[in-house]
Amino acid sequence: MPDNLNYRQQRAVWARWPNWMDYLVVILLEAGLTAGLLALMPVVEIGWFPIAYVLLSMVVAYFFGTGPAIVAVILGWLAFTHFFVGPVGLWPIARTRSDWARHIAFLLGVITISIAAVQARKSQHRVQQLADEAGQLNASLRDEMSEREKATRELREHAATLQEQAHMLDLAHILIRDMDNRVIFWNRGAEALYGWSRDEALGKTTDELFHTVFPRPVEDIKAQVLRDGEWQGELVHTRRDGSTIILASHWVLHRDQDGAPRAFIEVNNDITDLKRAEQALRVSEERYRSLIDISPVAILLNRGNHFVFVNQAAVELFRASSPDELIGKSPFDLFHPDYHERVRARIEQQLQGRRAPLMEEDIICMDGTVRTVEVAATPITDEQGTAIQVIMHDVTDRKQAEQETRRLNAELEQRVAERTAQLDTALKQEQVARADAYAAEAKTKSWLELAPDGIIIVNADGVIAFANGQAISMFGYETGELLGKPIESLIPERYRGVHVGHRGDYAVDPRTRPMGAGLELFGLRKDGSEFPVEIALSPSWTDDELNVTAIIRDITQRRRAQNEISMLNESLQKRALQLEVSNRELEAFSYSVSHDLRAPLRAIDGFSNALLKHYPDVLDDRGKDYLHRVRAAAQRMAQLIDDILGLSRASRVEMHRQEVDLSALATEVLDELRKSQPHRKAEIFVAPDMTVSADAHLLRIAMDNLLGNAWKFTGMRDPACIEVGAIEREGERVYYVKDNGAGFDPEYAGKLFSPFQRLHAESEFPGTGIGLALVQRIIRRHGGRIWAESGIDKGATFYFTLGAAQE
Amino acid sequence: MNQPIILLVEDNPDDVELTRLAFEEGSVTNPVIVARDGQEALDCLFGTATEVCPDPEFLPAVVLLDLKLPKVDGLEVLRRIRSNPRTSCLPVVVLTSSSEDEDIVSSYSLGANAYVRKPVDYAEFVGAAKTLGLFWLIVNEPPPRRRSCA
Repeated sequence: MPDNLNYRQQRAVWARWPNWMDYLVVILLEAGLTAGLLALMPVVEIGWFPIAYVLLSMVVAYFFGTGPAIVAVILGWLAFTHFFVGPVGLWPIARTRSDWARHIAFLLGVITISIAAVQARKSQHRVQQLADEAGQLNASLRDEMSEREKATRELREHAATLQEQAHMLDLAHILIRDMDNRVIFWNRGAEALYGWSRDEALGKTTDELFHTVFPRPVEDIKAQVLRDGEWQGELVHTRRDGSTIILASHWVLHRDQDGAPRAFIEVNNDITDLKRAEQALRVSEERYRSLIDISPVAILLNRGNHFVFVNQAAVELFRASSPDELIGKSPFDLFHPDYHERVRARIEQQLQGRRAPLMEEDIICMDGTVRTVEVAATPITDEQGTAIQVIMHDVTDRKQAEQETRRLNAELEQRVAERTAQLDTALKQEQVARADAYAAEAKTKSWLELAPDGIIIVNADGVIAFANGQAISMFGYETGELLGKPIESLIPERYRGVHVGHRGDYAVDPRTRPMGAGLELFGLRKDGSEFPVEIALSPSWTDDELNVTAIIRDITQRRRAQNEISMLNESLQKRALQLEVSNRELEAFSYSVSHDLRAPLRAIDGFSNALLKHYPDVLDDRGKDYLHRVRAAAQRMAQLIDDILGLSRASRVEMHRQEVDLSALATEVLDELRKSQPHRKAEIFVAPDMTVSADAHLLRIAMDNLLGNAWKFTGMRDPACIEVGAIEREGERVYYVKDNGAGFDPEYAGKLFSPFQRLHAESEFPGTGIGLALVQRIIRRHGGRIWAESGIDKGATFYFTLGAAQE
Repeated sequence: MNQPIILLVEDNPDDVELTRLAFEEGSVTNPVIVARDGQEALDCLFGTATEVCPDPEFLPAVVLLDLKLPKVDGLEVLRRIRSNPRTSCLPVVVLTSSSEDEDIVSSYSLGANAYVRKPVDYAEFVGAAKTLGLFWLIVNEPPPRRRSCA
């Protein structure tokens, strides 16, 4: 029982004796009381004695507790019953049942009272104890309060001085908190930074304000501050508006005069932007670096004429094993001496901050090979001064490829030229080569006999060593007859002497070639007749002896054919001459026609006219009519003659093709026709820009006739419609003249272009029937065609082309 | 009669007659001397007295020259007229049935003053003759006598 324990402890303080002493004191007290009562018995009425015992029991119970109280009750009861109720000396046992009841009631009553006394005692002790404790607490509390008051006062005084300094640093974010993290100072900078006003912040704990994220457990940090007096590090604070900021925080421990820690002075710098910039920079730097690293282009950084950085591509370009091999090297170690001057100039230029253009230079690699690179350089300035970033791109392969291409091209050209020459030679020697092939095959396969040409092999002495069947029959010998004969026996006698010499020459320069180039060669048959031959020669060696293979072709047939051709040519030439003569005769004829046929006509017409004029009285009307008819006939005859002459001239005259504006020509002709009959109504359409290649004079005659016809045959149309145009038909340009005139029966279309053919009566439409024949002749001379489409009274369309030359 | 004389060189009597008729109808009244062939014409012009031209001093005002002539043809006559200083300036009009380009070109290149084609139609012929006479005998100023043009 903690109460008991407390009580015992308390009692031990108050009365320091062992437990058994309690019981001894109780016995002594009972004995003393009994003795006293015995002494008082005569004076005091016996009835009050039990009260004394009760009182004693209560006292014992109060001071000594339950056990001693019970002992006191029992002892008191025994003593009272023995000495004052029953016979003395005997246990005062009740004699009556009512006595027992009284005793028990008495005992119980006493016990109850004693217990109450014990409880009272206990309560009193507890109250005492609590009071003691409260007293103690009060005392300590009082001490503490006074102490804190003092400290706070000091702190406030100190803070006031600090505040003055701190306010000067309003731009810095400064706060001071006591050891319980309560803010006791908050400057303007802190206000601005966190968004909490000074009044709001003071008294609050930093935990409430900042929700700080510490880099390591806050206990560690505090311990460090307490130990070292300060701490620096990065913190993440949350501001009033909920945003987080990163701070470089500096904590300083403030101690009072006794050296006891009193407050933390916290100076915070917002490094959020810095951090983010750092982060961004890091990312961009990383990106840049990775770009440089994976760049296929070599990148080097030259600082003070030494390379301080090279990328992987540069390492590969220079055939280095690692970047270290290149770092520290000077550009003059790496560039080919031929380019040092240029490199020096470029570096100079770079250091003046100018960019250098792309150049092509040679470098020397770590393994000594020389490669060609394209170099670009750009100056970059940083805190260490100006460095030069050099970029190189290997173009060796490209250069080589270019050179190779050039070389291949040249080679190809050379080869083409050579091949062309070879082909030329080959063509010239084709016959010989083919013969060679034959000979070669024949030697192994005995196919010489199959050759279509005669083949004869002659040994060094000019003796026939072999002759195939073709050769034998060509020269009219029997099989085997030729072997052993000198080759000259196959040559007409008049050539033999020279031939021996030729054989000697051939032995000096034996090669495959045709024999007697440009000469007519003849073979001599056994019967003495000669025949023309073509011979190819080819050398071969057997046992170091020169054999000559001759391939001989009988060209009698060819000669004959050639002769025939030349004969035919001759006769053709003769005929051409004859034709020319007859042409000339024809011209003479036309000439005389123009002269001699016209003269009588003139006489007929002239004298008829003279008769009509000078002798009008002699002739009656009939006679005059006849004379008129004579004149008309004569004039018509003259017209016919003129037309025939025109026709003949159109065939004979020389043609000069030139650009002719057909549109203009047609318009001119039509204008003239209009002027000839100004009273007629005509709608005329000529397509523009028709330019043709033709003889201007002849084309004019043709158009005169075609348009004249159109004009003539539209005589009774009102209005007459005449159209000149061009269409494209089957890739050919076709010109046409179209009218709405009388037209003609298509059944007779075939006769249209024959001379003197007329499809209309003279009385209806006058004419000689020569015009279209003339037109056709002119069109044909141009290599063109002409045709017509029409129907009776449906107008006519004449189409014509002007031959290939117009393109 | 000091009227200028026309020398007509023409072998065809029909044409001679027709020409005369035409002059007549065209009111060309000048005398016409007719040479029947080239030789006659040359004799006339070069002062060889003949039946046709008895006067060796004779020179016509104009020569009408046919090309197709017996003995010496018209072009040859023209050539000789031009090559002789006596007649080199004499107006010569070629009057012929031919309309061949060749004849026209030859005539002019030999020094013909004009080239006229005889039309079959008589009316036209008369017109041509009239114009000829009018031009060469009246409008045209003849060269001075005995002066070479060469």
